[in-house]
Formats: sequence, structure tokens, C-alpha cells
Amino acid sequence: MTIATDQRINTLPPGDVPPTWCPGCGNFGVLAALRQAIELLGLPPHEVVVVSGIGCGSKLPDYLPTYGMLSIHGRPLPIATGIKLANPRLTVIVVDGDGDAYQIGAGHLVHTAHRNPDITHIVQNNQLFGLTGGQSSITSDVGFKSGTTPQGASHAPMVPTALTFTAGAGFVARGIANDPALLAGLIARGIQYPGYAHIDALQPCVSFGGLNSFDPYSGRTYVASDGAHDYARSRELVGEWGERVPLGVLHLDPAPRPVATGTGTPAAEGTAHHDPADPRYRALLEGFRVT
Amino acid sequence: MWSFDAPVRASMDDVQVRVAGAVGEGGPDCVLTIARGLTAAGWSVLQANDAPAQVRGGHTFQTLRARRDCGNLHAPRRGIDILVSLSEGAFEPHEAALTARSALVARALSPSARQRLEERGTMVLPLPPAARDDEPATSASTAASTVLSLLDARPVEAPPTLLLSGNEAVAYGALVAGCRFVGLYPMTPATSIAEWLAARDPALGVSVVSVEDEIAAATMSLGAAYTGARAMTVTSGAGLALMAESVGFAGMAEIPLVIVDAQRPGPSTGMPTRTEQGDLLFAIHIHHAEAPHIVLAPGDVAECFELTARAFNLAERYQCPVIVLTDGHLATLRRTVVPSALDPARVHLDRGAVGVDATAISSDGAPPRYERYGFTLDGISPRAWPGDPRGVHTASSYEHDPRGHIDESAANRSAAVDRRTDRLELARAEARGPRRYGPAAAEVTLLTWGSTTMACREAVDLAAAQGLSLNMLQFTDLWPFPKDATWDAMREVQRAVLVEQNSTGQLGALLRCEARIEVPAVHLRYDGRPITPEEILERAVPAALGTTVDGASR
Ligand SMILES: Cc1ncc(C[n+]2csc(CCOP(=O)(O)OP(=O)(O)O)c2C)c(N)n1
Ligand code: SF4
Ligand SMILES: [Mg+2]
Repeated sequence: MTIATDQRINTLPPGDVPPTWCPGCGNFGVLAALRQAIELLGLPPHEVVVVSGIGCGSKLPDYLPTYGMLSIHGRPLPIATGIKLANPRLTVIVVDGDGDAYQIGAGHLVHTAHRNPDITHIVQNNQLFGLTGGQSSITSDVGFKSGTTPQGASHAPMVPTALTFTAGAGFVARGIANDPALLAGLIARGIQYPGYAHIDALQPCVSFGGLNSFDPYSGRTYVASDGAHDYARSRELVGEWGERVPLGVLHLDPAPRPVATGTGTPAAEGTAHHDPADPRYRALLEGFRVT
Repeated sequence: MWSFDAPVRASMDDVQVRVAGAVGEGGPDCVLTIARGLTAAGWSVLQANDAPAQVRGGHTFQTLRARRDCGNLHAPRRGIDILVSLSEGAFEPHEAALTARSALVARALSPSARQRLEERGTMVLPLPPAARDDEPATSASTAASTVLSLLDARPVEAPPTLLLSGNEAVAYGALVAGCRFVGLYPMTPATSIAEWLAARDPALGVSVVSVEDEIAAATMSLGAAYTGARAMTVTSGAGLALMAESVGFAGMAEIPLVIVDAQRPGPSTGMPTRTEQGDLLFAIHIHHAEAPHIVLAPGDVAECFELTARAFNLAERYQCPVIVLTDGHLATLRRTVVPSALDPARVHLDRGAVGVDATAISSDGAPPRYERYGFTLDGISPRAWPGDPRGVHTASSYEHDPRGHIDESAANRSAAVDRRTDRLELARAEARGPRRYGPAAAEVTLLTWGSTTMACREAVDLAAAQGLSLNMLQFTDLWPFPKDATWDAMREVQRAVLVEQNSTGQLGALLRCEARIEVPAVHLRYDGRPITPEEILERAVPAALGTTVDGASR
């Protein structure tokens, strides 16, 4: 992994408040990895905005010393896009859950991957709805028993990396909360990637995860690639899910699509310097004049 | 005794032109050419549109009222002086309005139609058929020249007015107010606001971003607003319904966001290209639970400019969403406006409380830290935008403490709710009371809001010309409702009638709930067609006679 460590700061201050996650929750690993990525890249905390949805994992911005937004369920992607387009100088990161990203906000996922704003999207995928009591989600395994699926989930899990790949994402990766160092590297590369970067972060839920284990993926995950592979291999890796679960950079587009931007001066700067007396606005009135 | 007779227009100085045809036959272009020609000739004009929701075929017509003396005009009146029939038979639905002084510009007429028109005494001017059937534009432009020469309209040196639509005025108001971001999912009749902005010089920098749905339109705009940009989204009722959760979030996280709802008849798909004022109570009660927001409704094209610009100031001053309600009639209506009414110099930016130092004193004795949601005297804490090293904080949809962190403690919750709600009283104190048009005291007062203001003003003018005693109160600031100002204005009211483009009298409900004023007489129209001045005088006013307004004299 190529990460510039020259400006590296190891001094990201702690967040204001301690996490309220269950002891042993995978979200601790994601938080550690994200902190480490920010430190690795030497990003000043005031230039980072972390936007989340609603769920256990989405409480994460509360625990960081950066700008943060705990938004509404499933909507952090368009919010983050608005932030990035309005002020491109900011590093904009989304952390949300599988319920947010793959379920209620799936429409935004497809469109964001396709629109390609320069944001990094970390999905804390515990394959269930944690905060609401462990109900099954679209990524739950077949047979997963929960309050809403007492007989066990009947559908095969959706494989989100295949979806964002198909939608046009140029950077698709998978990490796991139990390996924060690997995840940190993926997040840092996602931040450096110019465009939408999707990181599916497997995140064991010790309270509701069926196996009730700290490492339910043990023996299944393997680090597949750092992205230096061809398109055909990408297609295999993004769709692989089952006996073996690939980690690493599953797809890195060698010819990335154009990054979404606004038109003209970025919106925040435009408003900050706006002067209604600017003669250009009065000149526009002439467009309504009939001669 | 109330007795109104629609006046007979005696001259060709105040004329009404109607262009009828099928959709796709060039009617809008024809009427626009006439409107532009008359504007260039120094006339005042007002053009209203009636169109079905289809792209070809059907029946559509545009009505243009114009005054040579550039005098007051607020709405179309009854009657047609010149009718243009772009396709065979297109004039028939309007035939009854033709008189011995009218002219019909039409293509080939059937012998029976010709005879009927002769009996009426209507002058018939032939319209040469289009060279080819698939080129309707030719006959539309010929028709326009025929009308302009009939009216003897010649360009003057410096036409005194500008010609624009309600949607264009909203867009221009937003631009002048510093709006730089518009998230959009197209919905008639709001879309052309965003299209106008998108077509401006990118150097002016309005990013119009077409997105996946109205939820994204609202949330993306909200994200932009969080960075300090002035941001807006525009939609119609069903789109506003999808934005409801985001409005609550903007209220909770205190993010300024302007939403324009160009209402149309609903619910659901309703009648997309027609008009209604059915979203008033929805816009007011859009929140789940309780949060501050503001609702404004312009009543004419110049007010579209002024109130949209004002919406951005209110959104930032009170750090909450502002909904601007227009409707299909006002959005698409085009009229002449004096340039001073749209003067950018009338727009002053008030960005509200911004900056870190003012309240950067923590409540717990620890070193001072910026409190985005601090408990200030008036409940409004200065905003800081990402990028500001001293302003780091969390914005949250959860109940939160002054730093923005989740805080479910009972004491914090109550205080935070009060802090967010208190500002509504500040907004109410500066809200504009109902605006009177017509004499200070009158036998009957029309009560209205939004686009029906125009027909009411025209009715007041018509009544005045006949020596009838009528005035009106127009409500522009609908939420928070200006109670005191309403009581002041209503004190002089003897008899009143609500004039609204909906079926339940939503302004009446608001007056009842907010001001405890009961207005028994109502004139409601909900067939998708704009209320006319004549129906106000013939039906609304008589409904008020013999009734009394209850509670207005408090
Ligand atoms: C509009 C809306 N619908 C439903 C909910 C309730 N809700 C809160 S979190 C959640 C699902 C959480 O699942 P996920 O996104 O996977 O996050 P996790 O808790 O597993 O980290 C739901 C359904 C909500 N907050 N808002
Ligand atoms: S319920 Fe699961 S996901 Fe939520 S905090 Fe507990 S362990 Fe973590
Ligand atoms: Mg989950």
C-alpha cells in the first residue's frame, strides 16, 4: 500500500465522549482504523467531516475529534456529496451501517457510486440491524434467525461490493474490524482515491451476530489483492462471498471516470463572497427585458 | 346592496387575447411572441396558462391580458377580445366568450361555425395554413403578428418593464440572495426554477445537481448548507412529502435550507400542470415531532423574487428550514414587472449568527470550547462551518448537548427543545402581518394567501371602479403565524370571506387555530383552474354579506 507518511501526525486527540457500543463490538476496530487512517494521512481534524446514518456504527462521528454529522437513516451519502461539492477542500467520509447503505439507502448507494463524488464510504457491515435489536438485513446469511426472521432468513445475502462495482465505483474494497491495521490502510487508500471509494467493513456484532462470536469470519477471510489486478479478476473478487470472503482492494479502476463536481466556484465559497450589488446580477435582469 | 355587473370593455386599450390549440401546436410560443411584442410596445401584460399534462395533443390555451396605458393589472378578466385558434375547432370551447367586438384569428372554419360567428358579429381573420402539417410554428408566429398588428403595437424606445414568470422570479431571487447549490429531482411545476439557474453563466456558480429522488435533493442541499453555502431545493407536493424527514433533521441540527413547493392539485399525482393551494397545512405541519421552521407564500411575481430572497435570510437567521409556497398558476404566469421591484439593491444578506468566538464559553468550567448548540440568550448559537479550526463540532439528528453529542438526559432534552422552539417567537415577532389592498375600511374584506392574491386585487379594483366597498388582506407569512398583526388588521374588518384554491379553507383553519378567528364565509375553488376576479365579486362577496367574523374584535 502506498501511503504518504511524511506529514504523518500521531496526535489526533481523543473524541469528547466515550463510545457506548457493547464491549467487544466490531465498531471499536472500525473507529481505531479510521483514526489511524486520518493520522497516517496527516489530515487536520477540522478539514475532515465524517457523516453517518443511524444505527450502532453510525454513532461513530460522536467519538472523533473531527467535524461530524449524525444524520438520518440511510441518507449520509447524498448529504456527504452535498458537503463535498459545496466545499471540495474538505475530506468527506461516510460511515454507516448495512441497514443504511444497503437497505433503506440503496438507491443512494447506486447513484453515488455512479455519480462519483470524491468521498470515502465505510459501511460497517454486521449483516444485521444492530440498534433496533438484531433484525435481519439484506446482507444477513441464509438461515439467520432474528425477531423478524424466526424461521431464519430465506434470501441469500446481497453482495454489496458487486453492486457498487456494477454501478461504476472505481475503488471497491473490503476490510474487517478485527484487523484495524488492514482496514486503516484501505481507508487511507480510499481517501486518497480521487472519486467514490466503497469499503465494506465486516463488523462482528457480539450481541446479535448469529455465531455470537468475536470472529465469525474466522477461516473464511483472506487478503486477496491490493488492487493490482485486471478487470476480469475484479469482477470475480467483488462477487465472491461464501466459503471464502476476499479482503483488500477488490477493484481499482485503471481508468477512473470523471469525479463529480459542482459548476463554477464551489458553493460555500460562492456564498461567502456573494455580493448582491455585483453588477453581473443586475445585468441578468436585462435578460427579462424585451426590446 | 351588493350588485356587480362585469364591465363591458369599451376600448382596445385593455384587451384580452386568448390562444387556443392542441399541445405542441406552438400556443405558448405564439402567446409569448405577443406578450413580448406588447411589452416592447410599452404595454403592461399578464399571461396565464391552462395546459393538460401531456406533451402532444389535447387542448391548451393561454390568456393574455394587456393594457396599452401600462396601468394596473393583476389577473385576467372575463371575456375575449381576440381569440387565436391554432387548429381547426380549437376556438369552440371559448366561443361563448366572443362578442360583436371580438376578433377570431383562425384557420379554415366549417360553414356552420362561420355562420354562428357571423350571428355574433365576431370579426374573423383568416390564418394561413401551415406550409406543412409538422410545422405548426409557422402559423403560430403568423398568428402572433396578426394580433400585434391588430393592436397596433409598435416598439417604443425604452420599454419600461421586464417580462418574467413566477418561477423565473423565484430563481432570480435565489441567485441574488447568494444561493449557490440546488439539489433537484424534476417535478412540475417547480422544475423551471432549477432550469433557469442551471442556464446561467457558470461563473455565477450555481451548482444545480440532478439527483436520484427528492430525499437526495433535500439532503444533498442540506449537506451543502452545512458547509455555509446557501442552498435550495424546489419541488411540488409529492416531492415535499418525500422531503419531510429531512425537514425535521434540518430543524433538529439547525441547518438552514430553503425549499420551494410549487403546489399543484393533489394528492398523489393529481393534475400536474394545474393549480391548487392544498399544501398549506402540510407545509406547516410537515414535521414529525416538533421543530422550528418558517412558511412563506408570495402572491405575485414580484413577491416571488422578494420572498425567496428573504427566505434565505430567515433560514440563516433562525437556522431552520424555510418553505416557500407558490403554485402552478403563479409559477407559470408571466407578467410585466417594473425593474425596481426586482432590484438586486433591495436584497441585503443577513447571514445570522456566524463565527466561533461569541459564545465559545463552555458551561462546565473547562477550557472554553466552541458550542455549536450553546444555550445563548435568544437560543440561537453562532454557526461554524467545517474547515474552521476552532469550530469543530458534531451536528446531530439525535438529541444533543451544546457540543452536538448525544445527550438523552431529561434536563438537557427539555432545555434543548425550548432552545430550538423559542426562536419561533422571535420569527413570529418579525413576521409580516396581512397586507391590505384597497380602502382602509370596507363593507367586505377578502382574506387570501398565495396566487389568489392576484384575482382578489383585481376584484378590489373592479369593485372600486363601480363604487363598491371592498378590500382584502393577503397573508404572506404563514408560519409562525403572525397573531398580533392579524388581530390588528382584522380589528377593522366588518365582514370577510376566505378566498382559497383548496377544498377545506386551510387559511381559515389557521386563523381558527392560531388566532381564534372564525370566518364563516368561504369561497373555495379546487378544480385546478385559477379563481377569477368575477367569481369573487359575484359569489364570494355575496357569501360574506350577512355573516360576521367571530373573534376578530379581541
Ligand atoms: C426512517 C427510519 N426508519 C427506521 C429507523 C429505525 N432504525 C434505526 S437504526 C436501524 C437499522 C440499523 O441497522 P444498520 O444500518 O445496519 O446499523 P447497525 O445498528 O447494525 O450498526 C433502523 C431500522 C430510523 N431511525 N429511521
Ligand atoms: S448491538 Fe452489535 S453492533 Fe450494536 S453495539 Fe452491540 S455489538 Fe455493536
Ligand atoms: Mg448493521
